[in-house]
Amino acid sequence: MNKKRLIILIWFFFACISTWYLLQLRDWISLFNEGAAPHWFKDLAIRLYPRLDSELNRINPITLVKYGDQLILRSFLCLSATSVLLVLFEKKSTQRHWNIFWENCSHNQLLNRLFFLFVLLLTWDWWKSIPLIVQAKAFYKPISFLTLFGETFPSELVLKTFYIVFVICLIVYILKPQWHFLPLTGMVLLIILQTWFVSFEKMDHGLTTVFYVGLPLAGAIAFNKSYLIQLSRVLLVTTYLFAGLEKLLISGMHWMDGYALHVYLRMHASPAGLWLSEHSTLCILLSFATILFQLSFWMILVFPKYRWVFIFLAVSFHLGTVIFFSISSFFNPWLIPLIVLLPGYDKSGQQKAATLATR
Amino acid sequence: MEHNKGKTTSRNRVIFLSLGLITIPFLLIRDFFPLMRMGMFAETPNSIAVAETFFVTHNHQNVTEAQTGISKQTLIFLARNHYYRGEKEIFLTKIAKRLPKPGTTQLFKVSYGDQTDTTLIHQLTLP
Repeated sequence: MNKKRLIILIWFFFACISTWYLLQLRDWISLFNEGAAPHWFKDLAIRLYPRLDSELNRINPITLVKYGDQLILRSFLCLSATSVLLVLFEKKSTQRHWNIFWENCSHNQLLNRLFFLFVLLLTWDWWKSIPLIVQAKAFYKPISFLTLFGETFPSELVLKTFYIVFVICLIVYILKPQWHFLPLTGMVLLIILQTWFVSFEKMDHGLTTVFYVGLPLAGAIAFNKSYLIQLSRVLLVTTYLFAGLEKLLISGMHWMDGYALHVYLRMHASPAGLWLSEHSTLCILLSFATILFQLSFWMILVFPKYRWVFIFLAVSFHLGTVIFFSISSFFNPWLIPLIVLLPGYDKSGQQKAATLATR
Repeated sequence: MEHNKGKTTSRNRVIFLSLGLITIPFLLIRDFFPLMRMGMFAETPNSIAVAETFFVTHNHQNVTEAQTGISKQTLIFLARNHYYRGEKEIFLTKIAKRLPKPGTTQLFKVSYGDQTDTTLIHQLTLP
C-alpha cells in the first residue's frame, strides 16, 4: 500500500471513531459515574485507566468528558503530524536532510562512560532501599505486565542479585569500554528493577529521561549505530515538548496565570518555594518561562549554535525544581541525560564530509 | 546502494517505532511504564484531583520511610488511593503493622485552595 492510501485510510478510520465518539461515546462518558454506560465500555475504560476504579467518585463527569475530548484532540494532533511527515518524505530534498540529521552524531567513549558513571552514582543507594521496599510488600500492586509473572513481590535476594549484576555491568563497562553489550544489559536490568519499585501505586517519573536516553545510547554502543545517539537526543527533547504541550492541553492559558505555580509551591512547602509563592508577579513570569522553555527546548537540535543557552536553561529549570519544590536533589536524574546533548557527540567537519561522500 | 537503502529503511523503522512508543502516553493520557506521560503539574489546582495531599502520624509523629519502607511521595499516593477506594482501615492497619510501637495511627488529608485545610480522615488504635 502506498503512503497516500495509508494516510487516507487512517484519516477515514479516525473520522469514524470521532463521529462515534460525538454521537455515542461522549454520552456514555458523561454518564459513567451513574453506571449508565454499557458494561463492556466500563470494563474497557477501567482496564485502560485503572485509576477510574478507585477515583471515580471524586472525578466529576465534566472532567471525564474533558479527558475524552483530549483523546480525540491528541489523536488529531498526532495524525496531522504523522501525515505531514509522510507527505514531506515523498520529497527527495526532505529525505536528504533527514539522512544528514540522523547521521550527525558519532561515538564518544569518554561521554558514554561519564553518562553510565552518573547512572551508577544515581542508583548507588538502591542497595539500602531494597530491604526497605521489601518491608512494604503488603502494598505491592504489580503494574500490568508484571502480573504475567505472578502477584508476589520478589525476595530481597532476587532484587539484590539483579542490582549487583547491574552494578557490575556498568563498572566493568566504565573500566573496559570495549565490552559493548554491558551498558545495554545494565539498562535492561535497571528498567526491570524500577518496574518492581514503581509497583506501589505510585509511578516515579524521575528516571524517565535516563531510560529514554540510556537505552538508545546503550544500543548505539552495543550495535555500533551512531544514529541511535541522535535518537536519544530526539527522545530527550520530545519529553520536554510533551511536558509543555500537556500543560497547554490540560489547563490552557490558565497555567500561565501564576495561580497553578503558587498552589504547587505551597503544596511542596520548601522555604524558597513558600517565599516565591508570595510573589505573584514572579509566579506569572516563571510559569510563562516554564512553558516557553519546554515548548522550545527541541530547537537545541536545530540551532546547535545556541546549545549552551538551552543547556543552561535546562539546568536552571531542574535546579529550580530542587530549590523551590524540594523535588529530588542537586544530583538530579533529569540533569544526567543532558550529557547526550554535549558537542562531544557531534561529528567533526571531516567526518560529516566523509558521510556525505558515501551518499 | 541497495545495501545503503536497506540500512536506511531499518534505521527509519527504529526511529519511527521509538517516536511512536513515546507518543503513546501523551496520546492516551496515562503512563505505560517505562513509557511515561509528562503530565506533572499540568493540571490547574482548582481541580480537586491535585490540590490535596495526605500524611500519616503515629503517636502524633509523622511516620518515616525508615519505619514503613515507603517513601513520602509513595505514601501520599497509597493513602489517597486507599481513601478513595474506601479502604482507610486496611491502609492504616498495614501501616500500623510496620511500626515498632503500639499506639494511635492517624490519616490526615490536606486540601489546598485559598486556605489550607487539614482534616483527620481516620484513626486506628492498636493495643
